[in-house]
Amino acid sequence: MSDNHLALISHLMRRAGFGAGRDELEELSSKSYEDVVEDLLHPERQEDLQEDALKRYNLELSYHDAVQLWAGRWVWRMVNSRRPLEEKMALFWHHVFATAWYKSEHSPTIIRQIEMFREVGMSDLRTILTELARDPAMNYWLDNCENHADQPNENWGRELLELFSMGVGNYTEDDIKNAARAFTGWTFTQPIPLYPFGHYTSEFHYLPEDHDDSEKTFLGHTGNLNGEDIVDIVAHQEASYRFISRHLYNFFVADEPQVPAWNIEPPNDPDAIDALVQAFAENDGQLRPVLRTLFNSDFFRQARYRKVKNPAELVAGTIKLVGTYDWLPAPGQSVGALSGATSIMGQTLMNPPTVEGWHTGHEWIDGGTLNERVNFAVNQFNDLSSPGVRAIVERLARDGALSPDQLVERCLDLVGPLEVGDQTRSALSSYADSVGDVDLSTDQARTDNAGKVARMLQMIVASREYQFA
Amino acid sequence: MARPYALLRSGFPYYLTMGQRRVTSNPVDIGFGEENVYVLTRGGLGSEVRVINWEDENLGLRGSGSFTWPAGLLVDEDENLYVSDEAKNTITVMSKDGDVLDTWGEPGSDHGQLDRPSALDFDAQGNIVVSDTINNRVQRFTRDGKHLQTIGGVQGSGEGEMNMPWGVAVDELGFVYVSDWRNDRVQKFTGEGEFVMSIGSSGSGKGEFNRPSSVDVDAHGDIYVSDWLNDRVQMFNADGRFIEQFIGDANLSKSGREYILANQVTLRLREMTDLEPTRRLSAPCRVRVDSEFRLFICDFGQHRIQVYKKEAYELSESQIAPPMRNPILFTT
Repeated sequence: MSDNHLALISHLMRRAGFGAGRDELEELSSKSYEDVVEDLLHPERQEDLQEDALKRYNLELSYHDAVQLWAGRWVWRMVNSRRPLEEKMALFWHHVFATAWYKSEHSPTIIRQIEMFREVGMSDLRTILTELARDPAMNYWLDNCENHADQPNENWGRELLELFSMGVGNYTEDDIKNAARAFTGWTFTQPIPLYPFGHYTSEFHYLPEDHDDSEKTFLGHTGNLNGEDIVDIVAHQEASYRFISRHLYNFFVADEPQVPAWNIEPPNDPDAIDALVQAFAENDGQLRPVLRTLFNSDFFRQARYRKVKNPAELVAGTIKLVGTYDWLPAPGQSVGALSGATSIMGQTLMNPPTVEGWHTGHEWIDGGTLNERVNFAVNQFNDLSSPGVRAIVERLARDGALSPDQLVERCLDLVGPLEVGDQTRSALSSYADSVGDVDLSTDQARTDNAGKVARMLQMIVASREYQFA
Repeated sequence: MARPYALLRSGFPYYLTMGQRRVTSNPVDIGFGEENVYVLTRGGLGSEVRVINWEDENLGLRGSGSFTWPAGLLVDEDENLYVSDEAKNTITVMSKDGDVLDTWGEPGSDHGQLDRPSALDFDAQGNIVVSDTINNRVQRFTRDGKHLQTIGGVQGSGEGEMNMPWGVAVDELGFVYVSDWRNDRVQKFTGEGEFVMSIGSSGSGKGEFNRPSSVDVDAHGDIYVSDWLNDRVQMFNADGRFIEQFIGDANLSKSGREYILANQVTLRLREMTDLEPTRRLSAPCRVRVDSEFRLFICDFGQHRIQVYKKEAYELSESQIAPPMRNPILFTT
């Protein structure tokens, strides 16, 4: 295998997943790039995760309530799943269809919404938008339970068009009003109250007696339209293909301006967006062919380290490197710590700030969050006994003794391969020169010098370049 | 007390619901004093011992802040409380007022050492049998932590082998029962540690388990297993034959009823919904059966204890037809 092939697979796994350790990268690199893409697009080819031990030692995962723990379980899945694109697409749709726990404080429906994204995230726009329209968490978040035949509420109808499918400028105010009327009667079953015995779930519920059966005109279609008709029309609009394509580009390829600017700021790469739109159009709104086009494109392959990692990517990717959250939780270890880490970096999973979701790219970084990002990554390498650190030391030990230059190059390679600029390289070299040759040839030497390797790894994950995917 | 020759099983009606969220939050085990009921809880709402009484009144907490992963609880004749902590690899002994009297246990895999001690039970002599999960064995200790015996210790799915055992129980004849968690079965051993029989396999049908979390045995020899991820408890006779299952029949506890009566919105919302799910078990962690044949189920996900009571009539050999080799269709 060529180094470039492995580096390209590493890029793919950072973007379509949450990174990969060196053993996994070497295994994947025995296949062609396109075959790895196909495996990612077909998660059913890989076994799903066994969560029994995770639940046994995080007992509250045996039912649906503790939302921070469930968010942590999601990060744990990002770390451990052999179906990483499934988790990545769930995160993608969570970004686009941002629904927060804080309004309802009803954990089961928020948890269920993410499960739904995992299940249908790679299907087609019509299916995804239909499931979204039927989702109790979304319904309550955007007040469609208050959308009655005699008293319409336009919140869901407006956001469906503005933020979830077509984008501003592609429909009229009348389209919004009529979309809202079409979704009258779409509500959810009343969940049993939290007290005295805990949460119970809720399901989609259609009330025909509360539906406005009069004629409506929406985007040129006239009739007694119901919610399914609105979704069907929206899911086949070129504007929807274009809007979701830009989201996909922003999430998987390179940072775009923030969403509210999209109707005035053109895409950074209009040709790339056109290619994705065409894939949508030729495949009736299916996601899988679009993702195939995206991952196999030159614009994707050439976009290495051009995207700021979102906190979930930073946390899950770093944990994958150190290997500390596997199938059996360590004594006292809670996956709630994983969601706590993304929260403090500005991304509280299952609880985005508004319906617009998170601002991405460089807006992930400010003085406070950068500090948290660097500290988190560095702290993970404090424990020399962690499986990932030990594995890196063992790999380096195959070279016996490492010169300062070798220490820098080999560690950069095993963390990514990570490409760094002159300033970072100079700082790494300065540290490597200060410790001199590092002997890892014997058990005793590895014990004595593993700390020097870990320190180098800490400096690498503290670098500017590590903030990028 | 000798076991009866046979039983007329009259029924197993629902008896009582105890506790509520933020009182008996996430119960993992239960024990009984003269007047008090001790409920071991674990999770974000508290990892401690909650004390209630039979009137469902909250009498306070014991051991708050002391435990990381409390797993098993025993209450002795003096109402001292024994709590295992599977993160700290210890057994803590507290008075009924919560004063720590002793802590024993050390991590490791040698005889007498522990790696994630989970369920606890007393044997007839008052010694403590501990499910030593990661070491794939159970061990017997005196109450002050002196090692007496090891059963198992080999990871696997063969007879006598175990895969992360969770529950353990000792019957009045001295047999030891282990819910062999990751093998989806219950194993029965003699007091000396010889394999006797196995019950169950993976699945959700009758007699099948999805990660059984605990086991207990009543004075008739009937065996109860909390079938954790199938959200039920299954009951077997002493030979391991499936008798019936319990999926939950809760009504409102006294404290729950008082809470709801003081909350108008809660009252209204309950009038707007289907209440059938409120009866059901969610991830039951522990079953215990007492000398009055009351079956206590720690209904982990619903923050309460569900209690059933067995109705059965003991039969002598002369009262029942002899065992039959084959089934018959002519049933009179």
